[in-house]
Amino acid sequence: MAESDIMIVDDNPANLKLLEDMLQQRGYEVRSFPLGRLALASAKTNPPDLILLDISMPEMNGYQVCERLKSDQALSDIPVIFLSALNGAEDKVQAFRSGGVDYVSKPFQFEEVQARVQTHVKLRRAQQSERALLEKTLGGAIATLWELVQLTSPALALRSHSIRDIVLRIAKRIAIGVPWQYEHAATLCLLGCISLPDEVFEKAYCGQDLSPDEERMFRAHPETAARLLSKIPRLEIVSEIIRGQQSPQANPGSEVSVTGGDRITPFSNRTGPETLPGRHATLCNRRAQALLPVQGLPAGCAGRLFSRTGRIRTPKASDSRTAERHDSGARCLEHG
Amino acid sequence: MAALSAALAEIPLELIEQLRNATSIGNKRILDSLIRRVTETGDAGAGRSLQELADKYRYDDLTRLLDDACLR
Repeated sequence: MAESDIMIVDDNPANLKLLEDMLQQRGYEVRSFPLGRLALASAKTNPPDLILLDISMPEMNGYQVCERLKSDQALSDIPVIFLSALNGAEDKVQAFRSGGVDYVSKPFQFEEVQARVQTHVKLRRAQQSERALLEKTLGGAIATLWELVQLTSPALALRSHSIRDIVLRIAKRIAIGVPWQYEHAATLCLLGCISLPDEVFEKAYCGQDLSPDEERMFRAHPETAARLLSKIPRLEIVSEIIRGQQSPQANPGSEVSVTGGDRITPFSNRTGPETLPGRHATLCNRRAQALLPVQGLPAGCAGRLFSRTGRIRTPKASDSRTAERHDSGARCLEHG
Repeated sequence: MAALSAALAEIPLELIEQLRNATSIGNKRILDSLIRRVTETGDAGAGRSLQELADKYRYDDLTRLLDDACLR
């Protein structure tokens, strides 16, 4: 097993020294702190694999330190083992409530501490590899669907690629970190078009009028894609974003139209929104709004990002505030 | 503390920065070895004072002293 990085936080120098020496002898890399404040600052810049945390400390007690860690998305996965002379049931319950994974009573037997450290480090590594595998599996599933789109229709694939590019550009311009769900939703938003007869797709592709039956078929493509994706665990949100792409209800007050011009967006034949003339910019806005607003981007926000000539505008302060609200919505989703 | 602060002003800046870094990451093993270098490079008094602070894990005091030394 690779060397693990263990952080010890205890206001008693003798305890720090004892644990430090013993863990180092067992091959662990050890960092020790007498105060929670110092430990939190260090964990932020260099997160450890596990934290051994005393409860009774000056400035900030162990529960508060643990709660701070758990409220930070980047640090919340770090397992915390409490080490304390407080042996009441309430103290232990409080320790677990604040986010601890284990509790060792003082005075402790070092072998017990070491066994628990080893167990939780192994568990964390298993969780990390499981997460990596899940990410690869999801990535593989999405790549397979994307290849299916490419095999069915290179033009459709090109269009999907452009939409993804635009969503990423908008997200970058309004300074939101793109949650992976948006990126995948943009990539696969036209997946349902593989179910369309070639002639319907071609007409929609060229912006020609569709018959009522063809219109009905075309309007069903988001639902088809959403149904396919909903069968893949963890892609439920992607599926919902795609399902809402033609629905004005997805973003109350949205200017997105589901009638007439909301065809497969012709702009994607071009190199990108920065070079698009007015009509294409409008379509670009529609598609971007259709994908991005579902999780809380207010109506018109994406639309304001493009000028009438199709260039991406420099965002104003109000756009940043919007982006902040949007980003917090996205974070809520990630937590969910 | 004032004497230690004055002594640190004579220590090479690179070593001060390494000491500051070891303190901020809480790595006592590296901190001890860097303090040994302070002692070996001539200032045994400063080395002893630093070691005393380090053994008591008085990282706030160490950080303050080392920050001041970095700014000189």
